[in-house]
Amino acid sequence: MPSFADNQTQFWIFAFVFGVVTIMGFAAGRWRRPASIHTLEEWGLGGRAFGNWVTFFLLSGDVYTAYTFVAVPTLVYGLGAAGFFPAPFLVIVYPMLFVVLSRFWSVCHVHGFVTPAEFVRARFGSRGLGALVAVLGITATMPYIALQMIGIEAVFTVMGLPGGWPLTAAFVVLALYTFNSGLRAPALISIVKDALVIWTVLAAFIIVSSNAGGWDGVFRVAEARFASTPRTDDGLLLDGHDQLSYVTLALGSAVALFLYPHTLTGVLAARNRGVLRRNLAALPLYTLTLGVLMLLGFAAIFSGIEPVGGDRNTVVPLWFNASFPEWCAGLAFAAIGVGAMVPAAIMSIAAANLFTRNIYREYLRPDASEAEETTVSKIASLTVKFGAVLVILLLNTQFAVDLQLIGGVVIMQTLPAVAIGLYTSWMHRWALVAGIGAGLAAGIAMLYQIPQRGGPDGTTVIREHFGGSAWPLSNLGLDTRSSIYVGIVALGVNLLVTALLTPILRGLDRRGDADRTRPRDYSADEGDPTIRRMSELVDGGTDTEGREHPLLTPRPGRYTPAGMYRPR
Amino acid sequence: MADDFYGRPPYARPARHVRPDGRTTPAVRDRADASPWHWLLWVPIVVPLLPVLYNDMEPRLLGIPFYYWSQLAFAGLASLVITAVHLATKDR
Repeated sequence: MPSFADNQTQFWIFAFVFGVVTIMGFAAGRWRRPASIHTLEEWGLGGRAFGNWVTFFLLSGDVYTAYTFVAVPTLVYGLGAAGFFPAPFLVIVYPMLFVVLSRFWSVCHVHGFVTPAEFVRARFGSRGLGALVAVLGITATMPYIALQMIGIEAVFTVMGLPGGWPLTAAFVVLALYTFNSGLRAPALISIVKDALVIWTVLAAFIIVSSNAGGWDGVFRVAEARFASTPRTDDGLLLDGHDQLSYVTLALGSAVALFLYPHTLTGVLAARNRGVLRRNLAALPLYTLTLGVLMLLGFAAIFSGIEPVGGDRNTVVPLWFNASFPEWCAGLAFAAIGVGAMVPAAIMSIAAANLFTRNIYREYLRPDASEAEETTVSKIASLTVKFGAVLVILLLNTQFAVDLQLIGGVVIMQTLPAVAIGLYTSWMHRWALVAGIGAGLAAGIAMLYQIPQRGGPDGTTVIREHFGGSAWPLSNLGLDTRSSIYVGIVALGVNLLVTALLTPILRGLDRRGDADRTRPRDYSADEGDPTIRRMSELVDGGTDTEGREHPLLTPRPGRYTPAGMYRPR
Repeated sequence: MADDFYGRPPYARPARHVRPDGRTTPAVRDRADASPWHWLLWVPIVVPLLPVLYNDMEPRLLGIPFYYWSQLAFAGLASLVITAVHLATKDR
């Protein structure tokens, strides 16, 4: 076990950076100070006015999390080629987002939506469906926050600190400045995070390149290690059987990333479509930094790193500690620590906004004022973070990893309503609900069937259920060792059910078109009259001049399928 | 267009223009942001999903096998393609 006495330098550098970040977090509330921070648009979306750079930091802080930096190199350390799937995943996601997110940005800015569930509610005219999407979003986000803490915990373990109180202290500080400053805090802190990450990645690359054998030596040692294990699923290249799961996992992760509420929160804070599109063009390059960190999995094999107490998440921090000078290792630890703070803050804000807009205002207090909404959101974000701390402290961390596995499958089920909904309102709302139900049932049933395997040859069953996300096709009676990512199959079931039920339900339901959005909402940009007026909107059904807002105030009467309004 | 937004019922479809020949066309195209340039975006989506293209050790770069550096190079490809599409479509 590493001892704290050996890691004093690392600890004080970590503590110093943490202190700087805390001050920045609180000061962020004053940054570009609005007239009132007590509105959800200011607290939860930073006033929707972030430009190119801030949006870049916010999105990179969102997507490339501490857990990514800790867990992904660990996968590569254990499996080699099969653990490299985040590289294609974080490339293919950006061309997809480039087209879809612009439309999402526009429709949300025209209507003043803060969450994806609000969009779904307006698009399909069903607050139940909106609430369902919100609940799925919150459910999937909570374990993701817990994973960030697992990343910090690994750093604390390597520094010789106990897991309990330092982790709690770190998250109390995070909770307080998020409470105070809202989305402005992670946006500002993310600048520090990116500087630290890029420094760490450059240092690591130079150190490996200049060691005895260079990268050549690293890969030779890794190849020998994989050849010596009795496992068949590891190696420097993909086995023919591993390719299907590799590709489906990359594809599924890309779909899930788009749908996670925190990604969409970062997107909505952008000032205009151009900011968003420029950022999506630049963000793939950030994947290069993750790529170098992934290759550190091989460097750790080369350096003979053995995880502390069998906790594989400690591999990367241990490698930093062994290969860097002490002060530099301290900066790398700070990069992981701050890298956990930024996404945890954005995720808790996103989850809190979902609760406030789609559950609290929809069902509990429809006439809540802006200040009340903001207070509810702030408290919800505190609750979410402390819930995540409790999961880590009271339950096994394995539990958070399992939940995250399910979370990915859960969030993917919102694809038809959120992403396809940006292109068509053809789907019937109850067909969407049924599709989500069928997809979830299929996904969780499949995850339940997957045992966790381990041991020296990787085939001994350690746990019976929820042991991974690759479902063996041999379960279907096929004679193959290939497996497929559960999320993709579950999504297929969802899409199939939605597509089959929609024509039937549309035939039965004569209510007509419930869509409250108009085609031109999807291409509106900053400066369009609709957007300007909406941003001045006061919640509660009236605009600044006291007129009723048609999108917020349902009127008596109904609409024919042709779009004609029939007053009652 | 400020008033029609408030003047019309919330669920109504967009106004349609009646042309002189009596046919109607929607006031707004359904996909005002659509562009044939977007087809180009399929390249950085499909290529990384075909392991058969890059599941190879050679050629190496700085000692890193092709499998690893090529997948990172796809990030550069994606960036280039998205930038090109953005520049080509931004003045829609």
